[in-house]
Amino acid sequence: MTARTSNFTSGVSELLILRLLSEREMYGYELAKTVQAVTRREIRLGEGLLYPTLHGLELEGLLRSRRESVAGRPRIYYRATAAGRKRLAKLMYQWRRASAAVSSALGEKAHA
Amino acid sequence: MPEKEFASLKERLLRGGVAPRQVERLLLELKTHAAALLDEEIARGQPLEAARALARSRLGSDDEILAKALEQRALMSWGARWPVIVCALLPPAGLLALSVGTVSALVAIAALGQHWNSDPASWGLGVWPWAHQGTLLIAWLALYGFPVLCTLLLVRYTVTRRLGLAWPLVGVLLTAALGAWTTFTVAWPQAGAQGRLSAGVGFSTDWDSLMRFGVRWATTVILALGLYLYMRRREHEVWQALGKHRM
Repeated sequence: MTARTSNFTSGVSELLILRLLSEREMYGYELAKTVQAVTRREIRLGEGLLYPTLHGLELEGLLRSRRESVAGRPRIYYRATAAGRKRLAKLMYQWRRASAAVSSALGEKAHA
Repeated sequence: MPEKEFASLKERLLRGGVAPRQVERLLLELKTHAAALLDEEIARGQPLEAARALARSRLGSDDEILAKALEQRALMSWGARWPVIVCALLPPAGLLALSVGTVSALVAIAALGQHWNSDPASWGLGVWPWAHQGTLLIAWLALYGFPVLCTLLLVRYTVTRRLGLAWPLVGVLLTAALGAWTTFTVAWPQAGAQGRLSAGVGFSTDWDSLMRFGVRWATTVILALGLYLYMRRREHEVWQALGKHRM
């Protein structure tokens, strides 16, 4: 098991959450699993930490949710709104710039 | 996952200023997630206690979840974000609005009554005896009930959101003072004389007025503080039952 990534900042979690939820709706447990899968388990966070971020994004109007009960357990499904997709585009642009800048500082060649 | 553990997190989130609605939802999702993690660990062949510990570890510690929640300003209650406005200014403003709204509603009802009954002689008790009593009751409520209602709602809001006492206390004192200064009179129409509804805020320095002000103000404040102490005591008992020290 990879150690939990301590510098998993809220900006990065916001980016990942918006990216995944702009593709399809997911509930928290499913989202946590998907984050691990798409980051090849390199990024691990306390899975419960997803929820404050999800709720904050929803209150900002970047996500919307719907509640459903599955096998007697409540599930809240989230998906990105149009405003959320706009924010995602902005965050992706910022991330790529920052990533390119760090790579440059480390003396790595830019990817084609 | 022990329920007690979530109860402790709930209390810490509330004390951190997270709105109760957000806390309830957060806990609901955490419990569901914890149950799914527990199922997953048991399915992997872990014994129950080990599965519980692993599920808890994967969920994140209370400290981590709390810190993450407190990063999200949008999750905070209004009282935690703007304590002066919500706790000190809004209650007296609410009382004022309630009083003005009541007088306006009564005036509108009286105007409608006059519109339907064009004979001034019939506006009196003979036509609508219930209206007289009803108006007096509403006036009494506006004088004595509304200040108490506003301060009790403020106290309940304060305790359920675990807010500090300073600004709510200012709100209680101001609301009680405004309520005690408010006058509300109803002069019912008599033969040859029109009725009159009036409300105002005034302060008189004569002894009787000061006494009336003092009794009304003190009654409201004592009721509010009594409810505050009662609710805090119950909250304290719950917290102690969790085996935690007060934060």
